[in-house]
Amino acid sequence: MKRVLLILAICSLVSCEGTKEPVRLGVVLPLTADFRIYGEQGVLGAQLAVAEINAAGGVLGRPLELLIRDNRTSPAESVRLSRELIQIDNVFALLGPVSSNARNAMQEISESYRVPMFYGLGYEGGRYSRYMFTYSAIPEQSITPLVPYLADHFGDQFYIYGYDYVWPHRVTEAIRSSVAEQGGRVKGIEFTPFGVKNYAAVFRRIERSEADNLILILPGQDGFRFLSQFAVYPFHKPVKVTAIAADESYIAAVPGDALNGVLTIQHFFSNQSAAGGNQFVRNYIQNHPSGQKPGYTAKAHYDLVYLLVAAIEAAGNTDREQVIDRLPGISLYQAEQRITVREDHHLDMPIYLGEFQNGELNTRHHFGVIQPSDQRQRMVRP
Amino acid sequence: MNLLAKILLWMFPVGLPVIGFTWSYYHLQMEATVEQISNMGSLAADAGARQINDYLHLRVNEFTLLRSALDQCEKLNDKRYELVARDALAKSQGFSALVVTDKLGIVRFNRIAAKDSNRFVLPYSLKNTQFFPADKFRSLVDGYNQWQQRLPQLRKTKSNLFMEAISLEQRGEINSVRYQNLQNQIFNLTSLAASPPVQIHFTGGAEAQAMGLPFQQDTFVFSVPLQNCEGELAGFASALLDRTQLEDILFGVRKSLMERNLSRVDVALLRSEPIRFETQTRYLAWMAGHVLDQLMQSPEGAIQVKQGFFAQTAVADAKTLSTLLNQNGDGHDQSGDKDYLRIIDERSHFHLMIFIDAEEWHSVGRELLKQVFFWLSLSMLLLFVLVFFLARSLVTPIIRLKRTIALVEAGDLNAQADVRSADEVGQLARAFNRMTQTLQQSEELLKRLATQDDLTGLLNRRALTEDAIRERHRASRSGEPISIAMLDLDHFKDINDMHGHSAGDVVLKQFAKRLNRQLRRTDYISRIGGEEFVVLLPGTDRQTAHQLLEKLLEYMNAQPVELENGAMLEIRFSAGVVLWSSEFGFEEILHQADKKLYQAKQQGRNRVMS
Repeated sequence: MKRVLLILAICSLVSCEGTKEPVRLGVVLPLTADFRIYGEQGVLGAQLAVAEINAAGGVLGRPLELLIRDNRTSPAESVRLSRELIQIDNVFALLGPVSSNARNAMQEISESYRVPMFYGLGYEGGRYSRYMFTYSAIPEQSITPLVPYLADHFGDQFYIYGYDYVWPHRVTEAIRSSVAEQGGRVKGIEFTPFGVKNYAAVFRRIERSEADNLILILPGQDGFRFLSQFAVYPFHKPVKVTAIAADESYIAAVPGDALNGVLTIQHFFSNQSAAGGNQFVRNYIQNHPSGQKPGYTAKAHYDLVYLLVAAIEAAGNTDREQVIDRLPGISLYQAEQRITVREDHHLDMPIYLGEFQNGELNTRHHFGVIQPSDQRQRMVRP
Repeated sequence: MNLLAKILLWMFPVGLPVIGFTWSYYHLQMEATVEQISNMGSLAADAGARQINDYLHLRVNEFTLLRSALDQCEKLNDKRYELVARDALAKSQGFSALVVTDKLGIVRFNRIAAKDSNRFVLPYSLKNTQFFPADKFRSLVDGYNQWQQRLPQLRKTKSNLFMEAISLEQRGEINSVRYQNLQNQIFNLTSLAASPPVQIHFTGGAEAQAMGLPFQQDTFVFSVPLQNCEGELAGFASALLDRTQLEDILFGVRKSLMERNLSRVDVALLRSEPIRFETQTRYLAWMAGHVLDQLMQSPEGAIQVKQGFFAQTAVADAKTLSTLLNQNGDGHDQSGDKDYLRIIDERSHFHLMIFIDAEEWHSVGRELLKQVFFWLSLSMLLLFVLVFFLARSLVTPIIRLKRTIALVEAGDLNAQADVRSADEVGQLARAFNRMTQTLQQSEELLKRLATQDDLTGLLNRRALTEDAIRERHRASRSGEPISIAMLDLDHFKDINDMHGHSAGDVVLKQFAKRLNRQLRRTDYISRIGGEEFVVLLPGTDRQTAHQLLEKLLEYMNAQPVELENGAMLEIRFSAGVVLWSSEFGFEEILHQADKKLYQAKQQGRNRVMS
């Protein structure tokens, strides 16, 4: 009899039932059409982080849950999905999207409903919102170290070829000012619509310009096609290509050795020599349906989940305002790989130069942790 | 059943009110919680419905303005009509898009409103597609035709009223109530005759999606027939209500509940015929018919079932909004808001439904149960412990007393109950102890009385007899001799006569003392008469006995006794000694000893004969 009472007493002090309401994150990424390679990586990176965190007990004892939505790269669709995730599913935060216009659309939703959003792709910089956190290598972080390096190693004559929308334009501005600082010259700038089939005419113009470097701002299918055609074009002098936003997924997408020698600049490559990334890389490969290596998009979304969880744990509750207040200052990793959330909601991050070679993307140079200027001072009107 | 069990059994019912109280506390708290949650749900349903109805009423007013902006029959067939549409849309806040079709329902153009919710829309053209679903188109056309057919009648009525008004004017009754009414009716009929009726349908989801609008589900579509300047049907203009604003109102209701810590909540627009949710839900996938019936029939518009709590309030649906918009149709006064709400209550198939998942109070219930259990267990434990120790403290001394009694019963009068408490049990124990002590003392006294001679303390005759018989048996077993001596004090009567009885007692006592002193420990000395004494000498033959008595005689003679009055008295006695052989009984051997004593007396006293 005493024993029964004892059990009841203990049971009443300790919680005897398990289920706790999950913390939901709404993931709005393109899972179809052109930018799906980024979307898929983002989803996988986030899923890996969530699986690891849940295995370790979740956040504040509650499991994390991802609600994944395909925004089909459309801003209107991003808005619709974000509203639904906030109004019906009561998500704690949003993760995504990929394209800048979808991001701007989601930023407005994020601000009007006061739900934080976490963006993991590179963009043009200069946007700040209390409710937005951008894990992005902005031009200050990628272009600024890149141009001097290229000038030193390959020559200071540049040609720029990119899509005709806001991000490539801003990147181009950054390249131009950096090149000017180096005393080099930009021999040609071209902005193109989507869906061009044959780039021969472009190559001719590049050749004529005598540029040493081509900065290619053409992510997606068009970019793959461009690189494949570029590799077989008979340039009379070598032109070093830096494909902005290129990552490991290019290896499967661009056939043959068209990628050999192509450079890219990012905050993460799978083949980093340093230790910290390896566990993440291993787990990602294991969980990937075709064993592909993770690119920077996967790493960014993986890290964003961890940063958010760290902030929630620091705040001790799921009050969005308190968690947002706790984010600046949170860091992951050590030494040369350290990423830190800044007051302007951007990140200090390590920048690496990568080079494709024989089906691998290797780290060619590490520029160290780059801290851009305060993006709140640079605010650009949309 | 023993005392401890009895006490425990009797005390336990005390626990029942404690259990009863905690049980009823739990239930009251739960009821209060559920009541509070239900109230919040009902209030939210009412407040939300009011917001929605007001919002829709505003849209009705807006559409009235919008349609009058569209009323430019001369521009109808040009390109300029698109600009007309743009301007019309700009006059409203609540419409996302305007679609203008020809009289067959084929889209001529569609325009998206320049407003915040459309900021990121990539608009698509619906040109040359059929905008209305077949049944809705038919009802639009029918509505227009019916109106057309009534026109002559309307005009006639108006003309009659006009005539009446003129006659009143002529009579000077322009301030009468009847005149005012006539003016109103004329005004209404004029507007009615001037413009065809508006129809409102809840539809257009697929078209909204096709247009690129930020929503993909049905919304309120306000449609009005367009007439060319000849008064013929030229097409239809439809304005799509901005569904995101409706969704925002629902979300606002949800947030108000979340602020009160209710998060497992659905706030949705429910159509009752057929049963369908017109907005998204998370916890309710569908609504069971019988639950809906129960809900609709409940007078407070709220019910509680196992899955959770439902509250509903009617909101305007497409039909009631149409009625509102076309209310002046029969020449009656413009109806007020009271009628709007009445019509909604009576006829609308749309309801704002709030569902609060039962988990909301289950989790409260669990917390409460934990607390209640904790306190209940604590108090029961405390009760049990206290009762147990109380019972023990009562029963243990009683048991001890019981054990002591058992010992006393078994014959140990020395047994004392070890109970020291000041209470009644202690007092009982002490009384018992005193009683056994008294008993023991009485027993000792009795024993003494039974075996001793009062005056001298020597054995009395009875005791001597017992001892003698015992010693005789022992002597027979051991084979040792046993002798008896009978003594008689000489001239004892003279002592009494000369010095008094008290002197005699003194002498007797002294004699006895000396006998005890001089004789051996193993000898039995008794006084069997006034001055007669018998000594039993186990393990002694006749000669040794004789010698002993001789020595005794010498000693007695040599030591006189001092009396109270100072006189010194010599003690003299005669004694007869015999060997007690086994064939004689005690009385017989006493008789023989007596004979020897007599001889001693005869031969001059103060001697021993054997």
